[in-house]
Amino acid sequence: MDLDISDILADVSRHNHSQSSYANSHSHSHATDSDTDIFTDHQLLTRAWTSERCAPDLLPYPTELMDRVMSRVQAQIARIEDLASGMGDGQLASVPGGAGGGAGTQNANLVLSILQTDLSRTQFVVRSFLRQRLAKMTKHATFYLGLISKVPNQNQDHKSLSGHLSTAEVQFLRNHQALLSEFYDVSFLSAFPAGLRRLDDTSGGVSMVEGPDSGHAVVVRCLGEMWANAEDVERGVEERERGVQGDGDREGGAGAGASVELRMRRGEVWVVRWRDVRGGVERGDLELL
Amino acid sequence: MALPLPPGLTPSEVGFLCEMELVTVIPRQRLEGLELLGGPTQSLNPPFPAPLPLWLALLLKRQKRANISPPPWLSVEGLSSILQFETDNRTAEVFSPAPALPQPTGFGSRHDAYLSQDSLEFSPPFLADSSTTRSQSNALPYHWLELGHLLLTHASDDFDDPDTVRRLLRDLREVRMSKLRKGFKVLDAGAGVKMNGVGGMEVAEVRGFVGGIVDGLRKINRSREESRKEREAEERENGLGSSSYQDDEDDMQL
Repeated sequence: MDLDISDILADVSRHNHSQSSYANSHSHSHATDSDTDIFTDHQLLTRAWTSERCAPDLLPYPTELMDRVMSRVQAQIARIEDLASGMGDGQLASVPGGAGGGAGTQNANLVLSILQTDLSRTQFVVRSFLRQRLAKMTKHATFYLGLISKVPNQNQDHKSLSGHLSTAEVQFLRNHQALLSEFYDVSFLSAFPAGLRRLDDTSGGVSMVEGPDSGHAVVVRCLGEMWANAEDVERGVEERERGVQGDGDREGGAGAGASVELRMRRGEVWVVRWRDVRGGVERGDLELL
Repeated sequence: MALPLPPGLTPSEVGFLCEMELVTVIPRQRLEGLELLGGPTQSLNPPFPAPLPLWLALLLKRQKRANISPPPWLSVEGLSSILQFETDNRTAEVFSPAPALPQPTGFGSRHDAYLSQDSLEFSPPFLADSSTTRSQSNALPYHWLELGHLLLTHASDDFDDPDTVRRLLRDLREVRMSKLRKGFKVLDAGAGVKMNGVGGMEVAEVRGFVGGIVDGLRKINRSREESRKEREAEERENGLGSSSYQDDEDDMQL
């Protein structure tokens, strides 16, 4: 009972916050952004950062979320610059004002430092998120390039594969791999026998392309009411069979589908293998810790 | 290297996450409501308390513009009762439960894109009232260790009895870590291990070790798993009677 009442109170107070902040803010209108959206986006960004830091594999790139966040960051930077320059002019004018002007500029200083701290916190999260993605991409560059190049051929995978990397990341990866292979060619690959020079060679005993380790242990918390990965296990089995019979160059990774059946209830925390919970994390039922 | 750290949050990043938790602040000076990138904050009118993110509360406290009121679970009574639960012999296998998660929003459908706005379920550090004065006093929230440490370091004068609270926090930490270490024995290469009620810093401390154990067990078991998979694939293709046929052939060749 208490929990319901406190939930209702929290909802009501959040509405009150939004109304009072609309009344207090003197700056331009925020008609396009409701406060619950800003709050939700902040949580989504934090969740994206945590998941990307904890997962051994590259998660889908949240394009719309990043666009919204970056536009808000730029608006905030503009607001801070206005405030800083407005304060500079205001100080000259308020020197004869005395004590009242002093307290006013002190408060303005405080507001400015608070806004700057908040901005730098958000920038840290965004930068760390992007750097983690770059690190994962460069570590398994040939694997991800192989996935991207398959997109125009396979229509049913279009949704899952093209959303993994943003366009800027694809460009970066291609350039990075081109530079690296050129460097290798110049340094030592030209001395190798002609048949052994390819960096994306998948034939032979050991493949040159190394996918990310999908059996790594991760800690997850279950957020949905009840979660089971029975259908992921079935899909994993199908993919393995298709890999054996069908396309010889389909890089399924070392058992990329789920292999162990799991069942979780809301609030439970488990240590499991990444490939068993990957579908749950991408759908939002589970959260990486 | 773009980011040379292994997968998983470092303890300082867990602390960074903890600073996003809301705490109750009793202001000493007026301050208007601000439009932050994490959402708008309430305006501060002394002497009414207001919820603010922890990083902002610590900033104001450092400048002596506000006092932070500790959450109910971070008190001598709250921590003593939790410690009693943890040290009870009957609960040797489990941690004290985390505060009850609110009802799931249940909006998400199966076809929502990754991280769409409609399907977000709240989780720490954004659970409402996990560390304000309205939080539960008999459950440790996810960021209990970092929050307790930060508040004791920067706002110890806001506590009634900071030394006892410090001692109780240390005892709690030792009991829970020993329970975690006991749980290492049941680690297995394949299946999952349940750790309900564990805290954020505890996960960060243990993650590297547990990951290493699971990877090591995987390497040892790899040959066994591969032969098991091959047998399963055979059974699926040929039906159950196939393997015995093969055995007969081997016997003949003796």
